[in-house]
Amino acid sequence: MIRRPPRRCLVALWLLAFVWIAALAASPARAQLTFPGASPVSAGNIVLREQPVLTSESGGFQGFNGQTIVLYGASPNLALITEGDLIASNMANVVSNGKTVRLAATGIGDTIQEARYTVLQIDGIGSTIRLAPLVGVTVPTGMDNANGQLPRDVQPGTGNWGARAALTASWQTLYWNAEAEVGYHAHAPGAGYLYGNSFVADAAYHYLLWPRDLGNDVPGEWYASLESNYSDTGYNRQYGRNVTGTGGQLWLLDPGIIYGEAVWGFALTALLPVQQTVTPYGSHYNYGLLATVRWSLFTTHHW
Amino acid sequence: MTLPPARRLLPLLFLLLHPAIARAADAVASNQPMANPATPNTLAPAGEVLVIVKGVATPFAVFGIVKGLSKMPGAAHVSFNLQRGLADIILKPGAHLSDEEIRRVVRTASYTPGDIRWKTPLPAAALP
Repeated sequence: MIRRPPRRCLVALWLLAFVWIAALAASPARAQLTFPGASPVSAGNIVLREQPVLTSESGGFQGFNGQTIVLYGASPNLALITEGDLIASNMANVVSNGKTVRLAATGIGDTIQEARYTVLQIDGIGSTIRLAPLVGVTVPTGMDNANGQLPRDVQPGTGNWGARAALTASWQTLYWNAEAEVGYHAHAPGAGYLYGNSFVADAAYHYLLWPRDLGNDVPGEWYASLESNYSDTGYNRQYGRNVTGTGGQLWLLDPGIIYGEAVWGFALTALLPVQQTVTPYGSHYNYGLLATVRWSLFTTHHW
Repeated sequence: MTLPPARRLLPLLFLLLHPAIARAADAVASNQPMANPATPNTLAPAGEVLVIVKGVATPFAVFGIVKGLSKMPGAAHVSFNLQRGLADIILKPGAHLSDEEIRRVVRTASYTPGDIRWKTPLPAAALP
């Protein structure tokens, strides 16, 4: 028997779709994203995640990233991950001829190709601990000159190749999950511009709210989530000089709610700054809103 | 005093009957573990295998293991009990599966196989 999602879930999905479309129309950033953890992915399993993120910063800066993540279990230990911004839109106030005008740079963002390999796996009944290093390449598929009136760092794409390395860990039990990531993201120069390298440290904790009785027939689970994102980014450099207003440190705490079934799930998360160190003329992070919708597919093709 | 329309009483009626409905749903659910909807159990079971699968902690993880096990030739229906980490495989008539094949599928799904218990018939490897 095919289980149909409850009516309330359908209404929530429609609301999500509406918010996504509304955000597209409003156009908005440099998005703080949740990280790929070390959660197990079966060989042949394809996970599709849509992650629209809306962020707001001081100075009228707003950003929107419609991020798509495809995760494929290539083998029991190897997962291939593609992250791309199908739409990225940044809006900022610009002073021109003594007047402040609001401009937007909208287009396709960059793509990151990653490979994650599980090197440690400790499984028990209803629990698993995984450790998985991750390496990736940033491909400059994005538009780095969508609006020439806006600075380079506000464009949807960086125009720079990059490399990313991280160590991810997860500890999942029936009633709570914990994940962590420590990573480094480096960029290569492109067209006279170099994005600052960044160090990231993320942690997440998910606590099962309902159902607490996990016998037979568990249709789905509700989790409360709390995530922490820390990043330390260097100055961007143009023609060998630091670009003012770029780089800095940012620590976010992200409370949220997660619903997950076998085939699909969604999450709503608020991104709230706890502490930030901005460079002179840099903008302050106000808040962010992240929605995630996940679908799972299955194929028998794998290594 | 006028009585409220009957349909306005429906939520109240639901609240009164809710415990009974919940008990009935639990009774039904206790015989219907998390099922793979793609393979309804329309065949008379020719046998059943219970497999402990370690490492499965979320419904998302259940998806991978149930899909993998249900793709095995001979599997008619697969369900999974999250709390007990127990996969229940109903076999098609005449199915021939071995312990090793089941373990291989569990490992491919990125989990660790535990005890395998056969309810009739015996695995192919054990047959004379």
